[in-house]
Amino acid sequence: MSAVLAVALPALGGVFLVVAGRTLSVGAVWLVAMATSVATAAAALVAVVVRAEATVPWVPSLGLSLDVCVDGISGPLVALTALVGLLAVLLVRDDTPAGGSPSSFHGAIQLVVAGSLAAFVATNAIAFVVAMEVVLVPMWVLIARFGEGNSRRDRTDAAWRFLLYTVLGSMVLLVGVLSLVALAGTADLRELARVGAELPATTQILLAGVLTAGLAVKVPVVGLHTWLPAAHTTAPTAGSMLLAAVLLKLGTYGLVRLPVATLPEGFAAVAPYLAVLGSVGIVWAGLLCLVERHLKRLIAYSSVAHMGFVLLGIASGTRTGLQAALFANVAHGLISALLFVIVGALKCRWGILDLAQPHPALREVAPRLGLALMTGLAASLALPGLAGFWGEFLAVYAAWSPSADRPVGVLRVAAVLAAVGGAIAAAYALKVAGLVWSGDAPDQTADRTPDATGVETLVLASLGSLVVVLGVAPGVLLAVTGADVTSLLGGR
Amino acid sequence: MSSLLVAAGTAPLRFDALVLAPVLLPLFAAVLVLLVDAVRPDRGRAAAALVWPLAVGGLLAGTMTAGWPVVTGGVPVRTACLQGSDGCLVATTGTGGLLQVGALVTATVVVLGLWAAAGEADSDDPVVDATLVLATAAGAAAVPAAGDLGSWLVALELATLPAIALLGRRRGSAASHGAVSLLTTSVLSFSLVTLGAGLWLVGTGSAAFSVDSLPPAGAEHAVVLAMAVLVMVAGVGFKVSAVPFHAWTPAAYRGAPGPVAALLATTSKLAAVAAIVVVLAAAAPLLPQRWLVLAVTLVAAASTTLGSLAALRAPTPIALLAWSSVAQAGWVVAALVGTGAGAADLAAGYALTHVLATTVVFAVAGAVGWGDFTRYRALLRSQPVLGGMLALGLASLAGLPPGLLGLVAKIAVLGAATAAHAWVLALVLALNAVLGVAVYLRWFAELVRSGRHRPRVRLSRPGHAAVALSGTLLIVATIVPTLIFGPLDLP
Repeated sequence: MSAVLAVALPALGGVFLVVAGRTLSVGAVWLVAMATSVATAAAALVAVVVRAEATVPWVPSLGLSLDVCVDGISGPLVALTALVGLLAVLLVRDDTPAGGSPSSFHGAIQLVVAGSLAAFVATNAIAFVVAMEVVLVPMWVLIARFGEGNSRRDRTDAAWRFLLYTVLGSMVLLVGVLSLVALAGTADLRELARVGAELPATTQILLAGVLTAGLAVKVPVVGLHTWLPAAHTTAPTAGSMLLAAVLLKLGTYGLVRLPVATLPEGFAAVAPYLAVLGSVGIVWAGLLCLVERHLKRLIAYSSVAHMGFVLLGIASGTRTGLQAALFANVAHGLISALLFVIVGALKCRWGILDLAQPHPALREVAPRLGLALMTGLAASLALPGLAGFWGEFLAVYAAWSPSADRPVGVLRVAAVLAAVGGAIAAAYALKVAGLVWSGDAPDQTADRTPDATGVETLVLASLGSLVVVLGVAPGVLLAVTGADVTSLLGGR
Repeated sequence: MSSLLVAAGTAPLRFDALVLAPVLLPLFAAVLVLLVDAVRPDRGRAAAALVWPLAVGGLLAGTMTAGWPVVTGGVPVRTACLQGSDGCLVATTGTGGLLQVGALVTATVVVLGLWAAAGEADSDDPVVDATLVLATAAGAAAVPAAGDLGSWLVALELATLPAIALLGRRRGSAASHGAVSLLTTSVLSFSLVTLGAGLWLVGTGSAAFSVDSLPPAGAEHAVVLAMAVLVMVAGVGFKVSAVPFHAWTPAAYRGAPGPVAALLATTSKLAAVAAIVVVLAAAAPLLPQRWLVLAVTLVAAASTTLGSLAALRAPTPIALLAWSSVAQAGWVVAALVGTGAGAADLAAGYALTHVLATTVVFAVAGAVGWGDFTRYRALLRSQPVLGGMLALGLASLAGLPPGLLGLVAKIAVLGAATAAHAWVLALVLALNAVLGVAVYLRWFAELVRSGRHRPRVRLSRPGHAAVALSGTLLIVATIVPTLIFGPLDLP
């Protein structure tokens, strides 16, 4: 029940705001959005704690039913989505982005949250794909109408590229899912996990290839990632938070639920390619970040790098690797949300985010913002003691000693490349810290940079403290995911 | 409930008028309309005030009698049954009942559109227009219930020929051009269909669609029957606008005023799909599977790709809708790839969903006005209801939420393709779904743009009613797709 509520509340709230919100004042719209987000967060928390399950029949004659279930793998992601949605709404209390009515903005955010929650709690494979599609049009509206690009043409281009790339991935994924359902005879993910392993090896390999190809756009795997920088850079702050923290997780979550859980032999054949592409992505994105001047695009590229570590963990095929991937998912969600909030705050104050221009030193003029920035950057470079470390370290460790059915040599090379990429990540993170936190402009420009406002401080403090807590006590999250990972991998 | 006893040969046939009501009521309304013209031939506003409500009333009454057995679960419904075999001249299944409802509702929206456009220069004869649409509706309601070759043929032609007259009556070279292409296509289609009917008679020796009359599989007559089905479906393919039978579509839509194009896109198309469903359901056990998959793959791939690519470059909304009709016909044909009788029912289900969405789009476009896409800029802001309905209709056609109905239908067709192991078809359909998103979202993007909408929209009462009727049905079907997919006879 709580799981159904967690999906239904933002859906109804979003539809109400889009359809009828124009009659309300800006303040009333924000209150409605805030109330919906708080209620969603409460329902999500209850669902995660209670491990809720429910069944809602939808189109029985086509085999589509909305079975929902929250277990150890989807629980952390459900909590992350509800939290980031709440913080995104909280952040825009004082100024909704221009470009359209506030009710459409808030309605779109609620619909994105609703679609993502529906995807994470779905146990029917086809319903999972449908839920992934629900988030597309609201996110397109957020980027195209409320985006921050220099011209309307930039925003439209970014929005269209995001939409068409993602729909292509979804359609390929849909073909794979429908083939799997037809061959296995069931659409329930838990049943598929048992039945899928009995399919012949060549079928498994083909199906795993198609499913991975479809999800590769969403993750994104390097080569299919060109939609991401434009979309992240152009979206408004709340949109970027949701894109990075929630939508990217849909891809890797889909990888865990579909090929890894249901087609073990097939995924064993695909995994080396995934590992190599993941490592290449880490290095490639790292090198691009070293020379990138636009701060928001730099954070966007770093997302590709972090997802590379997640791919590495998934490809290793061990329990440690999968735990690392799930941990890195949550950690990256928190870290990128934190960084995008800071970048949004800086953009408000400075107008442009060009690293080549001199900036006042944040540590002197805006110490709270500076602290948050350093926390985010340190976590991004995987400093021990912060959330980013555990996911990346354990992923590399798992890739170094993969499971028995993976080619050891390939994965070890990938692990080495990933470690090199981690070093590059340290390089660009410290470069950004040097330019922005230490700064080199004279103090006369200090009044252009007021410190974090009350709302911003609240949001930054929540995200920052979670990053520190997860870094110091990773067992909290690892314990939640542990049992279900073991049962998913069948004790390998 | 009255019944008429008609002697046919030695065995009397019993007709249940209530079962035939969906066909008889529009025809009765047409007779009343002609009576009005005979009594008061002044063709002025007084005639219009009587004619249009009569037409709408007849169609709505027909819809209710068609929908009643579907809603109460009383299908299949039969009447005029022959003794000694299981053949009936009128037989409606769940799918057939749904197709009847769809045809009559879309015809109602067309009549409302014509009513709203009445008073403009080139539609100055409400009697003729109303009678032609009522005849089309009656034919379209009769096709799904056709139990024998004769009524199938007559009903199909009744459902599609009046559109030629509706188009030819309009002034202007575009309309004449469209009418001529429609006429030549109809003649070609009729000749193919009649040839198929003749082959069917040779193959089975009986004109009734009954299971007993089918020859055993592997017999020589079975090959003749398969050929008959192929030729009949090819003939009907003209009316569905599948490639390579689609050439008439852009010309006809361009020349037709909005409501007439809507008639071609909705009612005629449902009648054609119903014709295919009836034929395939009757001959299902005897069709060679491998060739069927190949033929369906070729036609569906060509239709969806060509239609989507041409629609991407369409300069005006009506051209976009014409090519979208071709692309959607490809999806309908793709649904036939499955094995067994459920395939034709799935095709009917997909046809119903996309026709419902198309009806909404036509209703709103009729109110806002044709022209080109810039006419719709920022419509969502200035006319939230109209813009919202159009947005929902376009999203349904694209198969993207909030158009959940379209997405469910596309999933069903893709599922049928994968279940039949037609991997090439499934992949082509997936790629074309992406193209489809690009096609419809182009129009959707204009709706949500910021700015001011001009010119102002003037919505008359019949126009309101058309948008309200089709829009409400689409919203309800989006939330509860079981309303469409439930009554279908899916396996």
